[in-house]
Amino acid sequence: MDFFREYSKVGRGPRRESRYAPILASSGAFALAMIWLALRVKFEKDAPYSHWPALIPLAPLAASTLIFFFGRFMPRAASIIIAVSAMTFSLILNLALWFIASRLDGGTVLQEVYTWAAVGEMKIDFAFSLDALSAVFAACGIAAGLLCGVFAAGVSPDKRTHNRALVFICLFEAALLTALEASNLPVFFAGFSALTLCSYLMVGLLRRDDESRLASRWQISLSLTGDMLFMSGMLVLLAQFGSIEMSEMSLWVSMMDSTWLLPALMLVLVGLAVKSGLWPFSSAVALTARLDALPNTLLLSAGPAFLSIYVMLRFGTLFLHVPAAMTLAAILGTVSALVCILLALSQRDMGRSLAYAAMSQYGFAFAAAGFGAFVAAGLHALALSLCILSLMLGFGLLVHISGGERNIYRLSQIGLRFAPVRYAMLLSFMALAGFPFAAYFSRGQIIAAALSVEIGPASWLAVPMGITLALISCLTAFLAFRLYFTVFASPALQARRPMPFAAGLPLLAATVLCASAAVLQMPDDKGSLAAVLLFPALEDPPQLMRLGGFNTFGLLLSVAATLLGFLAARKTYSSRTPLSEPLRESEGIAKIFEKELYLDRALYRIFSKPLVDFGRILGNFADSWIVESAMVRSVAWLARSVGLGLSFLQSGNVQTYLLLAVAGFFVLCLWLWQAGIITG
Amino acid sequence: MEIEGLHLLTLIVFLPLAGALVLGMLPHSESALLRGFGLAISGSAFLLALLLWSGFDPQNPAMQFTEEARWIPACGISFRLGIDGVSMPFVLLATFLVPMALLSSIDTLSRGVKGFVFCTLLLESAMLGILTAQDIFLFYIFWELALIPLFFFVTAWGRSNRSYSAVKLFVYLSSTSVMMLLAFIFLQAGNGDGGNSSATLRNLALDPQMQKWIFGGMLIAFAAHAAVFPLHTWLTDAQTEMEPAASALLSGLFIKLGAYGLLRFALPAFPTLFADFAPFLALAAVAGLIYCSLAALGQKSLRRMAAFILAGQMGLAVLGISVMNVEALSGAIFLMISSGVSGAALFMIIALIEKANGHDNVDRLGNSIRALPFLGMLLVPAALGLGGFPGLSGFAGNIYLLYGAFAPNTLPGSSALAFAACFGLLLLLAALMLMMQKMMAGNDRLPPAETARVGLREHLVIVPMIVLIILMGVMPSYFIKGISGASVKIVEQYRSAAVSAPDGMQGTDSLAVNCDNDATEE
Repeated sequence: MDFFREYSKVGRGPRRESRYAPILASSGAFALAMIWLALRVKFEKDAPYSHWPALIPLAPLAASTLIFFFGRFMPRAASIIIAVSAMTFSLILNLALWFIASRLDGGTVLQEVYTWAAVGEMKIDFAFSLDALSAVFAACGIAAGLLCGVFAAGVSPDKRTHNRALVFICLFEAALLTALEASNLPVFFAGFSALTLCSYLMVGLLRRDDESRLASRWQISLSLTGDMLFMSGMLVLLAQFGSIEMSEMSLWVSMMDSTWLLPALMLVLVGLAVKSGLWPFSSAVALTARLDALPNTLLLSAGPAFLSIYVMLRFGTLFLHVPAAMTLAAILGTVSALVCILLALSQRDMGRSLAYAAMSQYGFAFAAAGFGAFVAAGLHALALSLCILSLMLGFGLLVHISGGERNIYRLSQIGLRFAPVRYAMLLSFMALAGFPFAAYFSRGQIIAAALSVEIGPASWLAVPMGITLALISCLTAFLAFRLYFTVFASPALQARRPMPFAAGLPLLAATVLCASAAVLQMPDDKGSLAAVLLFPALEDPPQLMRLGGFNTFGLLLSVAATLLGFLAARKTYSSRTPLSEPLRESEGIAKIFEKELYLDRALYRIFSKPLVDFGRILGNFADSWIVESAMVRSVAWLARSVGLGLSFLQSGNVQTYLLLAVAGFFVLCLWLWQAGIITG
Repeated sequence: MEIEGLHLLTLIVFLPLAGALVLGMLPHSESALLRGFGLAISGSAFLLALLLWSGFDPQNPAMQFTEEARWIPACGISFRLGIDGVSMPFVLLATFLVPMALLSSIDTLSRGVKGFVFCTLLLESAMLGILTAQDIFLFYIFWELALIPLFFFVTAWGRSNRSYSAVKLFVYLSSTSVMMLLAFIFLQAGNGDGGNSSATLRNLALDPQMQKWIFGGMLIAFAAHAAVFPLHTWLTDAQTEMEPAASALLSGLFIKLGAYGLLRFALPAFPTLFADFAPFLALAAVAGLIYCSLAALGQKSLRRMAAFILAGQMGLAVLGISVMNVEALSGAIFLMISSGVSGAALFMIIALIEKANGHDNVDRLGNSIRALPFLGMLLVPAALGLGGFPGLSGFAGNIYLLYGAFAPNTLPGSSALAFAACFGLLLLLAALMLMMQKMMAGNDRLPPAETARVGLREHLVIVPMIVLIILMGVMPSYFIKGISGASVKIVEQYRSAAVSAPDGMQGTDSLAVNCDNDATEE
């Protein structure tokens, strides 16, 4: 009860809090109505629910449009009601359809909305299909959007910013859900690319300043590069297999020409890595992490990296047949996980530290897919999504309360000891570290998978990668508790702002979700509970379900690594006073790491600047001089020279003309003779 | 009432020309009257085109609404018009863009209104004639007619470097048109009893060497008009100097006519030669896409940047034509239509940005989005539609085109070219993003663009185009149906002719059979 008592102390008072009562009441009523509707559905083949999947992404899209056009004329609460209701509707419908799908043959609810285009052999339907895999990822994504929407209501300074945030969040959700529930690859790509645009809008336009502009530029550049690489791979697959349906992917293998499968999957994989922001493509993540918590929360918990793991699971059947691609995934994931956790440890900005930690864990999930532990990868991504959602919301709340402070040492001086925030974040930090109850069993399974290597990378990679992943686990635990001890385990001083109720509520909800993720990972005789409940879509072929079960060795190693990290952090940070850590500038290698290895500058110097400079040379020099001189000026010069030469011949001298006439006659005769017209 | 009997095609083609002649009799000083008259004429042409579309059967790949009259019997020249699934969307696009261009010129054009409206109507008539002509000489006449207003758009309403650009435009397009004329003369001579009809161009009895020369002449002429690399430099200069409304027409439609001509005349006349040249054409197209996208990245002028982007996109369309399968060809045609709408919208937006800032130098643009927030909303779909972003017009074109290029058993090395095209597309998107960012955010150190007010009407002109961009992205099937049907026919004829043609002959037998079948179907 202390928890709630303390919570009520820091709220805005009863009068202000009542503002949210109608929102909560209407959302609750709406949710109940939807549950009632869902329960009335009969499980028949042509039941009305086959017309529902499209409504899942459509609802947030409609809300976004409504708020965008009419938000300025509505009271602030109305915008929140619209956004929250739309996302609640999507969430409930998603859960209801998941329930229905689990009782249907094939486990999928399919809706063909209309034929998007049909040309030659390629017919593309704008169709959605919802099975367990897409439903669980969608539920997680919607939960993130919903909580971010409520959080925005609490922290937005004015109506305009608030409406803008809601528009972008709803748009982002619509894009994510389109991708997750797409029935075929083109529709998936539409959602996948729309996510790029939404990320760009959210990062660049939510807070219009130099930092966001720079971050959005990197965001769009890297995302588009990832999109194009993915599209190239996708088109090769489409052209080679002739099928675009995601559900037929396992059949593609039988039609496979291995010559094409390898480059196609490599393109898909690198595209996903670039779009996700795995190291060394993490510049956008680093720059975005300097911004507010809201875009970071959504991007890290339900953004491109989250979606990429979903794609890896969907493409699992194909990846199983191309060990080289799996090796690449494992290496990319492991290297990214290691570098990102080192970068996270070197940061003093809490947001950036958390962002790098999240990317490190997504690298972990990538590596898991590379080792063939697809179920573990999926579970890890889901648990991580909820964990990072909770952490970033907590971070956002701390920044709000402290008046914009982000430095972990200065935050410790402020000494924020609000119990709700503290306990919620402690739970999330434990989840990040690998303690029960979240992201626990999956991490052990991934380490065990790396050490056993049955599918994917060459066996010589097994031990180094397994040990590296265990080391990363240890470092992650160290980072998590370092952040906790630094920020919370210090004497309390004065907070600068009250804690808004609407911003605190999502933190609590996210923490509950984060903790509940552990339940889904509980092992049973067929693997984990989630593997049985959530991933029936992966049962064909059975290799995809490999390593779904309880793995003692991996678990023990993971636990040992986590404990080691925790103890190290406790020894180093728990007894320090707030000012014990000097606030001086970093030097040497620490500085290089703190500046994210100067990666954005390196990428700019290596790729962007040479490209633009080369373009400048092409446009201003090659185009004007080489092409122009070759095509136009040379012809003009030739014509003028011939004209000048001819004009010199016009001397007025009869003898010259006669000479020319005779020469002409001989040339003509020669030509006629050569053409065979005159002979002898 | 039967639409067939209304001579709609003749009406659509000659209404703007007749309007231009009547306009000549109106007083110079009455700008509003002149503009209103021009709008009424072009708007009527658009309504007629819609009527034509309502009666058009997209399932029928043959020529529809055909009209024929003998014109110069001694030379075998006839007045022959017709329309199929390839030309129908271009006709709609032309009649749609002209009133939009006239509307957008209201605020940007202050002098020579009469001449401008006259030239616009003349250009519309010429472009519609090019799209519907079924006689090669009639086609040529309209082709040459289109150059006249273009030349004046640059010289009379251009900026400081207009003389150079106008001469360059004229040299490029006229000299290559002469090549086309020569090619057509030889083509007519070799076509025997077929006369000048495009439908019978396949029955050629020409020396193989001569065929190569004729094909080469046509190829260069069409490639120059389509601004295919390395014959694109006239376009960038002309676009930089031209009145923005005219730029919209040039980029929106005129350059697409080169690719259209290639498809309508060069391909059916010489399928075997086309098959031989296709790898080189595809290579030039992809090289052009990459080159122009890179060059766009390095430009300081917004207009030049956009011109390079459009030239690059034409490279992508030409790749689709070179690959010559149903998907790639349909994708290429759809892409050209989409690029026509988005390109025109982009140029109109650039004109507004330029008006607000007083120049189009990307390094000196202020923060336009603060001063013109509505413009940002229009710019995003226009630019992304051009880049082929999902949900917008260019996506369907790109995806079908590249799918066709990646498909097995097409052009030798087409997969490698398709990979290169994907890279080019990425560069094109990068250029578009850079342009968008410069236009919207500008240089942070400069104050927001507030030097001139941009009214609501100027914004509203662009709205119908944005609606069309979104519609084409969300429901491309509505637009692509007719294109697909016509593409199937073109590809079938091309394949049968290219496969069955003996050395030196252009598949006369098989194509004659195809033509007979078509005639029977009709």
